[in-house]
Amino acid sequence: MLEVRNVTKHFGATVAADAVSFTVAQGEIVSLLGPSGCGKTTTLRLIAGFERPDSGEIRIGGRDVTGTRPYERNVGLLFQHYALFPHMTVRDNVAYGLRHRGWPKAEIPDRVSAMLGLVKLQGLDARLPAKLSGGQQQRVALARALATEPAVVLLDEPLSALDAKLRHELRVEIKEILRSVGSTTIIVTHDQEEAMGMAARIIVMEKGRIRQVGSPDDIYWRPGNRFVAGFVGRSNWFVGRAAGAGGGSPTLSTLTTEDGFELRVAAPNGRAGAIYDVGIRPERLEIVSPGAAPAADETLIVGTVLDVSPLGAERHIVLRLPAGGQLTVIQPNRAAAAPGTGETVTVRARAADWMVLPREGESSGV
Amino acid sequence: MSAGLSPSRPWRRRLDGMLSGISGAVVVLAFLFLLVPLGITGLMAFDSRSYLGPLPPPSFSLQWFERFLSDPYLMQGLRTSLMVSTTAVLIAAAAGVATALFLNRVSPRWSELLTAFFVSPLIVPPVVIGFALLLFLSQVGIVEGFVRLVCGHLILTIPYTIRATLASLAGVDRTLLEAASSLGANERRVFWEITFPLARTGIVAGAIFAFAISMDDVAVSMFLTDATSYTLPVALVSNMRANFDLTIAAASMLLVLFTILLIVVLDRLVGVDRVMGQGLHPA
Ligand SMILES: Nc1ncnc2c1ncn2[C@@H]1O[C@H](COP(=O)(O)OP(=O)(O)OP(=O)(O)O)[C@@H](O)[C@H]1O
Ligand SMILES: [Mg+2]
Repeated sequence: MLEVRNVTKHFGATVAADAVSFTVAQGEIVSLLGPSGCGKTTTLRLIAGFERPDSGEIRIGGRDVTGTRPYERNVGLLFQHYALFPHMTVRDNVAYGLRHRGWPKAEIPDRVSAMLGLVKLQGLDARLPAKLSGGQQQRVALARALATEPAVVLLDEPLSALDAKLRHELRVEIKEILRSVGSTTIIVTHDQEEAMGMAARIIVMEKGRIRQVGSPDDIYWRPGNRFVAGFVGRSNWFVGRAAGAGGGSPTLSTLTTEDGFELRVAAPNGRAGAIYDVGIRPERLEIVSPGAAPAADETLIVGTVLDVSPLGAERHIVLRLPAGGQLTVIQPNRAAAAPGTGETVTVRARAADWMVLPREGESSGV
Repeated sequence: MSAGLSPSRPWRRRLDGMLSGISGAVVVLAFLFLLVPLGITGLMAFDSRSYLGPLPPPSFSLQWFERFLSDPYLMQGLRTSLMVSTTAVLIAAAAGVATALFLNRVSPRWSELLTAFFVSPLIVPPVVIGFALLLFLSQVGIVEGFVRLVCGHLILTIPYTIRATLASLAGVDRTLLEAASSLGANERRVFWEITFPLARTGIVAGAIFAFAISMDDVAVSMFLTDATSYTLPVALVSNMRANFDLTIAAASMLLVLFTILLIVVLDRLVGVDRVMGQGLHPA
């Protein structure tokens, strides 16, 4: 449906999009995720036609639209600050695209009502945007963007101007509406929860380049590189050197950290001596009774409790490791069994839960 | 370091206090300076004596206002003033929009240069404008007073309308224009349906301000009047030279009242400071 092929865009010396390529299938919701300034908005603006790429090609529905004007593309847009026309009523805002995209005049009022029904704003059609709340304005904007049945819908941080509770409600609702309409959608956000909550596929960008494309689970549990792993969620990181081949099991290997820890991890296919970033999500660590014997695929780590923060649904426990590093464990915040500060605890990590990534910038032999 | 700083603190506080005291006094003085002549004129306009006597007047009357409103010479001036200013401002507003439209399309460098050029009359003394225009218009054979006045007032008002229009157009949120074009509106329709309606208040405000400037002008108009076409301020000045009476005070009060009215309307529309600010700092 939407194809972005090798698109590059410079602003002076900055590369806002660097050989960006991806496709979005009919009816798919994809999220563009990345830190501020990584080129998310630029990518959307290139697709919408507000910017011309220096090179590369953009195709919508099989048609090459690279050189066309924004109004010649059938793209619906949702902006962070709604961008409703302040001098037009809700009705006229929603009808705007219909009038310009040549809908039969007689059908426009019905279409407008249907769209306002879809976003649950019946009865507000004679209001001016200034008389609506932020959430209502963004609903109008959504109705306006979807009214003309655009081939692609682009949302640029559509919820970031709303407060947390409303943001969550509207996120669920927008997702539902986009699904029911069957829109081919790209949603830009730097909020990973928003990205994971709305999209089936996430494109992670850094400095104008795509670093990984995958499902929310792929991105979270199987990050392709240290940047993605670090950007999405929290984790505990170590640097480990691969021991020689063998070690008893064909599927396991041992990485030795700088501090001399031996970590049992799922075997990376690197040669002996290669250096890896090894990380584990805090919720995958488990506090076990002291003195337990580790299974072949387990690593036991002993540390002193530095801090315990009960954060509602979960409890964050920070440990100090004997060698000086820290380790964060997240466990469900049940009433029982919070270790006290200063206590020594044993933590278990399973081999399959470690993220093992070749050191960036070093030839890892992979 | 810190030991050296602390004794200076009370001293600095005293200096701050003095400075704010001085600036307060300056504000009051400026206020008086601007208002006293106006107050005196106001008093004189209601003077019941038929000669120029010491202030304050012993009693008040509306005789000067009556004299002003029944003076055919001055009334002719008022009519001409209203017609000249209205015509000039309408043309200037249209020219302002057209120019701003054009400037919006050329590259920013050119746009800046041209803007500076179009607002340059603001820094040329009005007397020079009036005299130069008089010479030029006689050269090309335009001797009709009304036309000459309109030409002069165009030069006076165009800088204001252009600047107001440019500022208002630039003030329209760019994402609105992008939203419109993503909804299928081409550049022309985006301009007429979104940009222009949203900039209109600012454009009108600029025109009203330009009108007030035009109504008050003496320096340029003086050169361009003829026996039948003369503006009210010019008529007042020449009247005063011929025989000093207080009609001029009454007329001034009415002009002030009229200007205040315009400014109130303007303030309702956008806020005076915006228009004043953008009018008084060319380029
Ligand atoms: N019109 C422009 N002129 C010059 N530089 C620009 C322009 N637009 C974007 N950039 C630069 O391109 C880079 C990418 O910007 P972009 O707005 O696409 O980032 P983003 O991922 O949307 O960031 P954010 O999360 O802050 O919105 C930035 O370094 C930005 O400064
Ligand atoms: Mg952005």
